[in-house]
Amino acid sequence: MTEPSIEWHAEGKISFTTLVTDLLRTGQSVLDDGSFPFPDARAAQLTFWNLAHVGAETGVDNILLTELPDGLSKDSLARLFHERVHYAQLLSYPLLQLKFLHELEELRARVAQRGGEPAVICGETDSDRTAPLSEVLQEKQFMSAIMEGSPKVDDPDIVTIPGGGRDAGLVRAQFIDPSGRQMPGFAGVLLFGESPLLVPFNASNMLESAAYVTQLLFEGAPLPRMAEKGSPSEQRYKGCWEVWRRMNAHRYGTENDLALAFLAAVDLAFSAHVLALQDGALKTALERADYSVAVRYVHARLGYIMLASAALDPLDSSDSSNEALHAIQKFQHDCSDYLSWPDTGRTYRFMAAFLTHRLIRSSLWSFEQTVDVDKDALRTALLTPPDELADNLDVLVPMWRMLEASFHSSTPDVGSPNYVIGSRLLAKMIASSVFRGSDQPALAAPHLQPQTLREYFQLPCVRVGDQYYMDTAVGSLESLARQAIRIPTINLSVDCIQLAILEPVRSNQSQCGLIDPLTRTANCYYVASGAGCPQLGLTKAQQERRITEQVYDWCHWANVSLWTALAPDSLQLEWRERWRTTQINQPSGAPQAAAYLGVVQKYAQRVKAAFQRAIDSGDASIAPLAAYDLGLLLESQGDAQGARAAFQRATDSGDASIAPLAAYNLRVLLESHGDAQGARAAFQRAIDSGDAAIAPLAAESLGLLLGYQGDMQGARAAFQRAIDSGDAAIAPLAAFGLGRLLGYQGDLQGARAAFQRAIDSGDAAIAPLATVNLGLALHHQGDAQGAKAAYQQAIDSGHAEAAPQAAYNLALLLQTEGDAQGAKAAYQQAVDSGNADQAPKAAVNLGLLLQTEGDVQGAKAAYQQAIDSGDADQAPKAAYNLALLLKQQGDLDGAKAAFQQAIDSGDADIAPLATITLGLLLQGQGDVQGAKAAFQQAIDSGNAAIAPVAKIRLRQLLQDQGGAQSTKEAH
Amino acid sequence: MSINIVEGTRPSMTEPKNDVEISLSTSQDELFASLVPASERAELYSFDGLVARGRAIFRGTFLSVQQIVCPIYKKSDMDDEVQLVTLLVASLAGQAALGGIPVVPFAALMVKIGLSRLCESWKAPDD
Repeated sequence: MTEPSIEWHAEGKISFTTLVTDLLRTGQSVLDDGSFPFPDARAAQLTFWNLAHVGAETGVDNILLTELPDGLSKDSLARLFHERVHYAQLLSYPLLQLKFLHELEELRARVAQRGGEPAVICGETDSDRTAPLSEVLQEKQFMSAIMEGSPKVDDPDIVTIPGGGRDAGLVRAQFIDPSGRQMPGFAGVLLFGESPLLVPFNASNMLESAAYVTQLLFEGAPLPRMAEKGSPSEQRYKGCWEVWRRMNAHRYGTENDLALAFLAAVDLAFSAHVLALQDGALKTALERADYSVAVRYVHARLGYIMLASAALDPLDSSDSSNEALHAIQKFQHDCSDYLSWPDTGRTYRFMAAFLTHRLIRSSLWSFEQTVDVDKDALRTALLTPPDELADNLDVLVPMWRMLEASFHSSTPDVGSPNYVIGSRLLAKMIASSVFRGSDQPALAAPHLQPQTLREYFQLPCVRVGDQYYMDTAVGSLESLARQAIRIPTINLSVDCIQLAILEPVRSNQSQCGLIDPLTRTANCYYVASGAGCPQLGLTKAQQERRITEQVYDWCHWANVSLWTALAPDSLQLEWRERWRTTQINQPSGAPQAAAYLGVVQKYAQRVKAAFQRAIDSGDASIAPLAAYDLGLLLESQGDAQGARAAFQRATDSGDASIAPLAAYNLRVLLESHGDAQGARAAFQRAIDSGDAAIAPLAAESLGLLLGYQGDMQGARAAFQRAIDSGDAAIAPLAAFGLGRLLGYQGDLQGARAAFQRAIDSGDAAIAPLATVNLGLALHHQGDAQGAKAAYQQAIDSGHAEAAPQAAYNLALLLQTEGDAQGAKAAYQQAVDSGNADQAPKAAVNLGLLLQTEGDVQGAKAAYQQAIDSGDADQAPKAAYNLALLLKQQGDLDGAKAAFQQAIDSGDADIAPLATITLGLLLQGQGDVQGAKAAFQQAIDSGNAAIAPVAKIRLRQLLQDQGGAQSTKEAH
Repeated sequence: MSINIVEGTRPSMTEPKNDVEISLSTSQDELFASLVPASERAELYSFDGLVARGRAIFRGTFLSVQQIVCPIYKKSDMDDEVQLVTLLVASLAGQAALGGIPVVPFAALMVKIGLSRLCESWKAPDD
């Protein structure tokens, strides 16, 4: 928990090669420690040694990320936004994707040069090949020229646009890499009096300028103007924008539109088809050299766009963000059409196909034995060139599903099958390309829809000193589900950390990349947790602890260096010996996870022991949390008594953050074990704490508890308290609970109002449920039309629980109104939902309805569906109904089998009924023995309704058979 | 419309200045930024991110060379900033503790921040 009064100020940085984001503290004195005074990541530290032990034992590098704490100042959040923009750029722009591949290939080449195992790193070549280092470095120089280069001016004449000022313009310029390769394009020129400033349109300047402008718009800060040349930093962040501004300001009605047009221009420039030469569809067009340049080089594109846009209507938007997005889209389409450039959607789809090829070819070896691979689909995908796949990405869908499976790990103790470094980030790039290929103008100006940025480009690893965090923005499952390759952001952090560790390899060094070479500090989770850095040297205490915990010299670097076979021989031998008894698979130098069950068992015991040690320490900063976490663990293991004691200890600690949470959990436990008074008291403590997060939740839960206990007044008051808190998550839930309470009490008017409140919240989880219940309340009030409308609304919501429930309720309503067709359709909807609660009973009712209409086949099918559901209540009913139907149809063998199914269910009501009915059937067939046995079974059931009848039936049967002895037995 | 531009972006100079003087006339923020090695500069920073990184580098480096710098400062009685920077540069050049950061901007930063402030908490071994 945080202290909201403290604000932390930070600048940001994201790495091209590792995609790690660093937050760099500002606002302190120059000699003050730059680390942030965040509260200790106590949860992470408590479990550190156990995770480290498991990692050492199984060869899996466990990286625990907690969420970035609250407290970042508003301007720092804007910096985080800035880095998120860069992250989106790095993932989705073709030039930067290619750069990332080059960087990976360089790593592979260097690892191979040092005798390591390059196959464990993704790259441009297939897994069993590596490009020569010299070629890779040549490409790197070419890329550096595009990224950072200063161009050579070809023609000093400045080109301006009509009506524009004479203080800015473009010049034709060439980027030249050290090998002499020339890349024609443009550069910007700014005049300060008579003194010119050349603004290179290199990629870094363009990226920074765009990110800075969108950041300022996000903050609501004024856009910059360069009154003087400024520092190199100012030129980098403001230069490209200033050129655009001076050239175009006279054409735009508002500065906002001017800025949007700039952002759209840069985004369009970066949508360059960098691999156009491999695209057969463009072969003819690219024969024109200037067109080829314009299609492929970002620095050239920006100049062309600046000139072309002067011939077109300026971008014009209203204040609403939707209009702005349309305006951006129009601007980009108009420019592309004017310049006859290929559709950028195709460019992104091409990159998606290209990267998919690269990813499969460099990582398939790691998972093809353990993941289901459709060989035909694989062959088709790999043999179809990217330019053909760009027109039909559906061919790659099976490959994407395969890749998803390769990244899946069933537990943190067992690594995923695909452990090739960089594979996850490449997968994310593929998903980003597909996303961009669907025309996403919001990404040109992310400040217009920051939510889109947060959903799709959540930063995978935010490093603050030696702590790693997840981005504050949490992506939703819906957005994850819509991505081409569904890889949760947290899975990407592994790649980021591993690539960071390997950075020194680029300069032929062996040390860990998490050690800052300039400050000699290790920015590492192991150091943050007190385990020290084996490379920098361990203290005696650290050595001893590592031995005790069986972590030894395990750390992120050890893991990566073993995988890449760059570890010294002594380290390799040491760890192979330790893993000798565990399952180790190929390739050499790459350890695999050990047997799952034994590890997990051991893990749970060690966690408990660790928590107990922390509790016994009495340390006020960690003991309460340890007690709380121990309570959760014991509760999950079914040790209610132990969990109760742990939660009580955490509650009694009085810790402002933990005590209310523990009190809440304690009441859950007490309630579930029948201690209602204790639960009520625990509730009240949690409410009285006034904790903004816990009090509303406790109030809502108290309302539920009191409702169950019959204290309606108390429940009502508790629910109202939770509603009045205005908590966005709890208030709708409480309104829903209040509605149900009032419904039970017969206050239908009150229930309607409460449900309406829950509906009006728009809460995606609660509103549909409240709608169904509103329907019920309306139905009970006799408002059938209103009820139907409410049910239909709930059905249309598609809510997984509410929609089937509403369909079932609607079906019942329609059936009572005599609308058999409508009822059938609604029952069918409920059945088709597959909802575990509604589908079986809807199937039974549908079967009955169809049976009454004479649709025997339909009825049988419906009953069978209910039987197959295995629902404990409905399956026996359905089996019994089916048996009766089959008996009616003369299928006596089928009927007997169905009766037996109903009997075997053991249902207290249906089984005896089925038994006696079977007995009658057998008696009718002359199977006296069978009938006797069935009647006896029905008697033995003790069912109050059936047993007496069964006795009578058995007596009659025996009488028919004759024998006083048998008659006595029946009595 | 086109205009002939004057070639180049460097400011015109009336007389050559040495690096020390140039560094002393540069802002602290630019000096901090200049400490960041080229390989790191190429990353994507927020607007003052390079400065923030430079400050972290300065702190770490200063703490490594404090034992060299502070005695020099305590013993010298120079008022002239150029001379003081030059003296520090001469003392630190080639020191492994610098870790490859440029020594002139580093020394200029120490002087601009103020050695009395930086060495305030430093104590000689026999103090």
